[in-house]
Amino acid sequence: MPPKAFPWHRENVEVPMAGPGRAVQALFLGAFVAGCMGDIGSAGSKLDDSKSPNDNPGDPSTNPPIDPGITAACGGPPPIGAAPIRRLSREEYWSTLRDLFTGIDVGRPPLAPDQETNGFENRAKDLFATSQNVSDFNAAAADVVARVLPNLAKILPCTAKDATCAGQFIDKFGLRAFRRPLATDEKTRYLDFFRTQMAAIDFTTAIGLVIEGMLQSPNFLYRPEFGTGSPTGDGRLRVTGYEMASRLSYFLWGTMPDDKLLTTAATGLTTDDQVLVEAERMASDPRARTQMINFHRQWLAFDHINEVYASEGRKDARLYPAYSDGMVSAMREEATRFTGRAMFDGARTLKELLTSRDTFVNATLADVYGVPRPTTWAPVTLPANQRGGILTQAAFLASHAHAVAGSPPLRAVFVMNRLLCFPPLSPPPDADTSPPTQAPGSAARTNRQLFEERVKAGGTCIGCHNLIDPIGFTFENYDAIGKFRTMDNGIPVDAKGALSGTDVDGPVSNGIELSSKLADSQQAQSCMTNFWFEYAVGRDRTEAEACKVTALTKTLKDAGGDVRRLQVALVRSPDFLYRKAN
Amino acid sequence: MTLRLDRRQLLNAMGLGAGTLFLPSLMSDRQAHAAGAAKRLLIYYTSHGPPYWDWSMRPAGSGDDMTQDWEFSLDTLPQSAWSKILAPLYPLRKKVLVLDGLANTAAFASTPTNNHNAGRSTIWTGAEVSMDGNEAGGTGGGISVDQVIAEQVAIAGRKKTLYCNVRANSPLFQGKNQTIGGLSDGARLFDSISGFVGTTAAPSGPTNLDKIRKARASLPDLVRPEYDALIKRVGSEDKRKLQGHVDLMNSLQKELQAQAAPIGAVSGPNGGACTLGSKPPGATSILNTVDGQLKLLVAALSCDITRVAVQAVGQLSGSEFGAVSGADVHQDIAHQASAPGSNASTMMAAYYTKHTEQFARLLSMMDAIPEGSGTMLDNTIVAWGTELANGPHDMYRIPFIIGGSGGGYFRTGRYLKYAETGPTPWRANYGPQTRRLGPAHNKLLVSMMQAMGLPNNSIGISAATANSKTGGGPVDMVGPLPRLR
Repeated sequence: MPPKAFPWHRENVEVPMAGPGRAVQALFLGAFVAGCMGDIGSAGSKLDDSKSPNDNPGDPSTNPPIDPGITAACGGPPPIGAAPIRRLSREEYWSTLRDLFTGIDVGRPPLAPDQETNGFENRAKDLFATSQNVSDFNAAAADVVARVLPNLAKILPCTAKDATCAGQFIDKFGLRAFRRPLATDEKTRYLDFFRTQMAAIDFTTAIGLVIEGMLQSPNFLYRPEFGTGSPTGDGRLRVTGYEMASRLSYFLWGTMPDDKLLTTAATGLTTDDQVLVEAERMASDPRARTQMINFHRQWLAFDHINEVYASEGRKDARLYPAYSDGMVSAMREEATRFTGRAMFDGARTLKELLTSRDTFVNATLADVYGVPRPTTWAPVTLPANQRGGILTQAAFLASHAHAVAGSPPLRAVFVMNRLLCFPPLSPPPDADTSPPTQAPGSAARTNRQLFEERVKAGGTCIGCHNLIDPIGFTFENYDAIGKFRTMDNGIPVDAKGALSGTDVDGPVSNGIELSSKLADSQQAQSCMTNFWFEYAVGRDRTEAEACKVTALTKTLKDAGGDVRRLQVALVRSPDFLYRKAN
Repeated sequence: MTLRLDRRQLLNAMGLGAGTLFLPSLMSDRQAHAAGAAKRLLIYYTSHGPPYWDWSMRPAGSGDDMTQDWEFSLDTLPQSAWSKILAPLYPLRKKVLVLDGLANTAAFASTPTNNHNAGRSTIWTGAEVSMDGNEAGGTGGGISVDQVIAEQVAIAGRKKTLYCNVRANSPLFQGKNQTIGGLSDGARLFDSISGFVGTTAAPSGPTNLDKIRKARASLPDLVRPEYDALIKRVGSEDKRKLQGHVDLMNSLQKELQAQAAPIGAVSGPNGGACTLGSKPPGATSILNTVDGQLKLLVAALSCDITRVAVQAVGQLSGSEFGAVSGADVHQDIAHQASAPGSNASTMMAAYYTKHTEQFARLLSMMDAIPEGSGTMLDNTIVAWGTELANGPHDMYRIPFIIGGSGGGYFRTGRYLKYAETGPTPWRANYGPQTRRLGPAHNKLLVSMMQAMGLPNNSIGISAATANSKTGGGPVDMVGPLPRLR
């Protein structure tokens, strides 16, 4: 067979790329301004004083004021988005089980991973039922009950092994499992089922089977909402106290409401003030710390280092003999610890996330950073000339790298997609995405030079790589496991690059400076805000809702970038306080 | 507190207590499938693709012409003439069909995107890649063939399908944008089917375990009113989502009811005992894990616990096929395997030879189980398809292999080369736009459906238009693949 030719470029890319400047602008600028940035800067021009923030057609007593900033930015009552029913994500399911059976270790029963959008696992549209997860939920319920029954006394409200005690259990446990009191017909059904099973088997087994049933109920697995009262003229409904309790707890904690929240929900959480009081309490609770890390895990792809390790294995063994399970775990652990400190214990700003050098290392990771080895995990301040923020940390650098060297395009595209909200960038199907290597016998080259040669030889590649590579090259001071280096293949590293198509365009001398420019970028703030908005409402933001993100970004800025203030502002947003009437 | 039901008993009730039982065979089921239709389907799916030059075969006189249909007998092909990758199939030569030259035309007809996404989205669906789903690179745009077939051939109360997936991006879909995940854990697979084997009825009446199984099977009845109540109140999108959940729960309930029967519900091959063996232990390598799962899938198929099974296999680790430990298999081996004799191509051939060996083990296992006048393999269609045609991403000459004749439906023991003279759909862009293509693999999917007794004449894309460089006319996407019978 004759060898085949594998062209590196996709022919249809040539068409839009015919005029590179124009095409690039169309591909990125237009798309990201519309797709991510919303309508920044136009808030003032859209402000219409004839409509007050309280100008809602409904009854003012049941319609608390929406964040006036949002109303202003949207030029009137903001459009309310859809509120599709949300199934618990795998992570939410596990956390909910943990809190539902306080004091009993029910573990994390195996569940297939959920689909993701931009790394996020909580989009309603991704959380549909598959035969796999219906069967998983069934098996998981049995797994959980097998762990609960030997400890049943811990969750039973009474000791008599009779139907009266079972009735009390159904009320008490049901309230927490369904995150609202059971309706009369529901209680009757569970109690009848209990009686049948107690007669056939025994009390304990019958309780276990009731639990298995509740864990497969839609009122546990999903978060149904119907709202209360009559819709406003523009089709908004106030949600009930219990519905709000779940909204708050799954947004701020990633798990079910605690007892205090459920108690409050019984009589309140129906006014703006009550909701905000709870939001403030919850945002500073330790569970919010876990959830803050969880948000960043999804946004900044903390799992990626494990996924890459699982699929690609170790790095080049000659260059990185120490890269192992233990090192991968340490890198991942650092991302978690750093985020907890920067985004909960510390300043809680994008700037902190992208510039702080205060992190944590264990002995394995200390070797990567060239700092003294501690005996166990310990705080450390990394050298100022080498590190600054999460993009200069090992987990990001090593997971966006190949076996031998870092990947400037992978690193850059991540920054562009996740921090600047550029539209998705994928290489054309036939692009050569393998790491370029030096031809045997040729003169020594740096990783950067090899990538530059590949792109120059690749015809149309340069259209996109002109934007991508100058961002990626700024990380050339870091090798395939994120170790700092000043020499590459015997040649001094050139980590100079540039940002273009952003609000902080211009030359950049290295990854530290890139990170610090991103920290000051309004576009990055807006991009992060957009992800927070979508996380809070569990769906994609629509074009019509760009004004909401504009206003929220301004709120964030006015609060000095404190993300906790953004969380509370999101609670005050129309889509959180209300739901669209069906 | 004294529990009458201890944790061990509960674990047993969860399905860990597998046994063996002799039962009369389910003749009515078998008879229904006796006449010229395959009894069951097993799909084997692997990631990347083999180097064509180490996979394809060109014995003397077979012709090397890509523009004509031709074939030769595998039965008479000397062992020495087998290609490196296909050689492990030599002992099974009478029972396989090697298909050379089919194109993933559905991918060519889709919006060009990342080839890996395009490949896994189209290979079993034949549908246009969906670009408005949850993955930026595209995902399945329609239902996959295993689901279509299972819908028609599943036995009520048994498993509609069994799907194991070790680390592959899933190629199966319930519908557009609805990926099915698959079980990665052999132990879970075991638990999900062991109840079908059952235990002998206790002389003193049902045990507590029997009662618990029965109660579990009734749990969907307990919660269904809650689903129904919600469905009445929610909007149309949510209604669809919840109704989907209820439908799946209802079919799960039928399985639970079958497993809850006081005695085992199934019998083994030829009416003998159904034996699942022991629960597969955790394995370190992907191939070993898959071997354990295939063993169980074959057992489940042989006992008629399901009629459709799928095994998907993700990227192997370098150490599993002789590459240096820590090799970047995707980037350094698969993508680089673009020229015969190159190191990467040699490694990729070694990679795929491991898969052929596994496929041969699978076929041999089924061929060793007597069934009727032949073997289980004879009544089965085992279809092996790959994510891509080869390591460097091509979408034409997808290497399909069929094992088993499906009850005499397919004429096995042959190597079929299909002419690559067909037009390319307009949006084709995986390679030169002028490239001529062999038959659309959709036609093979149609043949699989028809072999399983379905009347379907198309799946996924049923009409596509050629690009202007290849004539602009219609591209044939429907009907069965010629020459298989």
